[in-house]
Amino acid sequence: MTEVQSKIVDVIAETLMIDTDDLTPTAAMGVVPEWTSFAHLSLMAAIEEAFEIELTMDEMSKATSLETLTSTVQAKVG
Amino acid sequence: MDIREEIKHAGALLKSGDAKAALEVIRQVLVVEPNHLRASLIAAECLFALDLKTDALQVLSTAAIAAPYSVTMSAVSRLIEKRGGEPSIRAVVIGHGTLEPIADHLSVAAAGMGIHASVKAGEYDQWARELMDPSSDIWQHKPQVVFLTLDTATLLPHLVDDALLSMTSMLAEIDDAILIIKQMLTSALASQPGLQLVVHGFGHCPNVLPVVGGDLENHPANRLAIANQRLRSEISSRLPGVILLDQAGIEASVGLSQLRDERLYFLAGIRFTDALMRRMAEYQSSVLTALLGKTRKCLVLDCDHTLWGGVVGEDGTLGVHVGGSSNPGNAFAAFQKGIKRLQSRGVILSVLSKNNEQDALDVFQKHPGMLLREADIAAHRINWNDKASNLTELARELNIGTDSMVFLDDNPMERALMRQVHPEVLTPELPTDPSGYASFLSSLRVFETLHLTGEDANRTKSYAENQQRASLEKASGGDYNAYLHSLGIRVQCIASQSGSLSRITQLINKTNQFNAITRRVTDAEVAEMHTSSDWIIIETHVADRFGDSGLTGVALCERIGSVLRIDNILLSCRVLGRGVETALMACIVKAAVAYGCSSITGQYIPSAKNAPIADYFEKVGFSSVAEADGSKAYTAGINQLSKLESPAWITLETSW
Repeated sequence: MTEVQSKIVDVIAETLMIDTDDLTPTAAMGVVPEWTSFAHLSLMAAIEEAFEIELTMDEMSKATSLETLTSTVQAKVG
Repeated sequence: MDIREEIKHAGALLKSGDAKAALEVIRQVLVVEPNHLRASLIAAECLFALDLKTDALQVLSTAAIAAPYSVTMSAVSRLIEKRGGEPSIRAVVIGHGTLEPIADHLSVAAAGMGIHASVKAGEYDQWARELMDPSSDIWQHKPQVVFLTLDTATLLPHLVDDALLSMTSMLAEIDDAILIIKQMLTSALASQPGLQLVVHGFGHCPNVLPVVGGDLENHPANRLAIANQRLRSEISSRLPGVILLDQAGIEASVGLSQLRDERLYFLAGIRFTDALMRRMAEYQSSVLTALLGKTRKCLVLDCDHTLWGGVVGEDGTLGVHVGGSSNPGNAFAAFQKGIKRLQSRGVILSVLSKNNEQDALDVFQKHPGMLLREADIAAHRINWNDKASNLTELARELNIGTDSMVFLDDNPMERALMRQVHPEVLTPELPTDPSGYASFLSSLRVFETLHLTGEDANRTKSYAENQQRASLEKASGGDYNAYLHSLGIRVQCIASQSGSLSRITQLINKTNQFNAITRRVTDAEVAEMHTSSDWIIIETHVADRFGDSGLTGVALCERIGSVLRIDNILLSCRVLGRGVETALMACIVKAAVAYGCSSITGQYIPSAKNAPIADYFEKVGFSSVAEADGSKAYTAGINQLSKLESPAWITLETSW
């Protein structure tokens, strides 16, 4: 796991109030029960704050799995 | 400490049923990381399990506000719902857009004020159907209060979009929209008796171009103001049972650049930013506070470093800083101005200071910069005794509960002591710098009342008059009867006037001690009783040689055949102990005779505070006929009561 990904896992666990152990590499909206479409919006806000980045609406609506979220954030932080 | 491990440990302890041990562990975590979300949730679970509901609500609210994402808010409000038990009030939020986040923010903000509100959200854009249709889901929640938040651009598209709309067409559009809103509200009030509706006024529209130059009439702000003014005159004054919140003002207080997050709006229909929803929730909670009769009534003020800069005992009467144009005197003057503003809204002022009494009073009397004078202070304790017992005495002297007091003191030790001895007193942290005092005071939203009445403006004066009455009592050498005669008390008991209805509602909802059943009412219920031919509302005005206490008593009576049923009877504590309660009952008897009733019934339901009325019905001649759980039902025949006379020292004037 890269440094970015492990930070993302922490943010997801903290925001959704679940254990980091519950977040496997295939974790995604709908797969993790707490990760609802509604919770996703908060998650995006928390990610923006943690990485000091801004996500577009398009990025927000696509970054619905740990994998896509990681690549989106990775591209922004360089 | 490994926080993650400690939290797991606490969670396991809680699961095994040892909430006390779990709380010990989690408290350690919260010391290292205050407001840690999962730790706070576990702490709250423990507190709920230990039956410390108010503390649990406080922990949750603080943690949620520290991490204000909607998912946090929603988790916290779910936990309150699950573990909180019976809510103190039930509410629904309806309107345009996605409403769940607004409902979550409200339950968190209410928890912060010690209120367990069970809040449900209506469906996206379904407000009109929900209000009109008694079978819609929102009514299943049995709400006592419904908040309605509407989108200006949807209701008033021309006003928002047409730059050159004529005034006539604009007013027509506004009036059409208001008419529709009114019809929906009226329909809901008709199908849901006793419902309190709270309408958020028209808010700002994001992304509207301002008009540059002098065309003020077509300026968006002017248009919005006109729409809100018409909404106010149509709804506030004509629909009792509906409260209007100044949405545009709430938005301005957060900042118009923070109306909404465009992405969340386009993705999910969320119309407001979290910051704005939090502020809206504060206002909504104040409405709940007022409806529940939990409004604070009295400000208890320290002197040195709180009302003025410096220490009067060391710096001398004229040596303390207050007033003038230089710092810090100007900051203390601004704070005092804020205090006077609260006083004009009916908040009672009292002073609680460790000083030589005359030293402190000299400042009130002689310092040219003081805005607060001795006459503004309804009661004071200035001595070297501990503040907690002094505060108890102040409450007794003012005849109010300590739970209606707010204590302001710059000294953290005094605040800590007060919180420990009197947790029911609101003892907020004061800013460390006096320049922050005035703005801090205006942010304390605990004195809200739903209406301001003439009685509010005169309250401190009225308490001061009580002080004069007390000195007269002393002067009359303990002959209480002679004292009462010398007061020249005039009592007027008349059928309710339409102009008094908001004061009647306010009095019913704020009176705790002499209140037979402590049932709170809405404006709509009072208006309904006022117009019904079966109900008689008797309003009682009291005056004497020291002043006019105004409308300070109410009896709600219902005619059922030949019986006059007293549903509730209450008097403000300011007029107690002078025989007014006997005069009021004498008037009820007269009314019963006039309506041809042969008997009168009454009821008493005990509360934590209404012991002063417990033996009232028996005293005036009723017999107790039933008793359960401390509640009593009374009855008396008209013949039995006809001997009841208004006290000789009272001049009674009645409609009957």
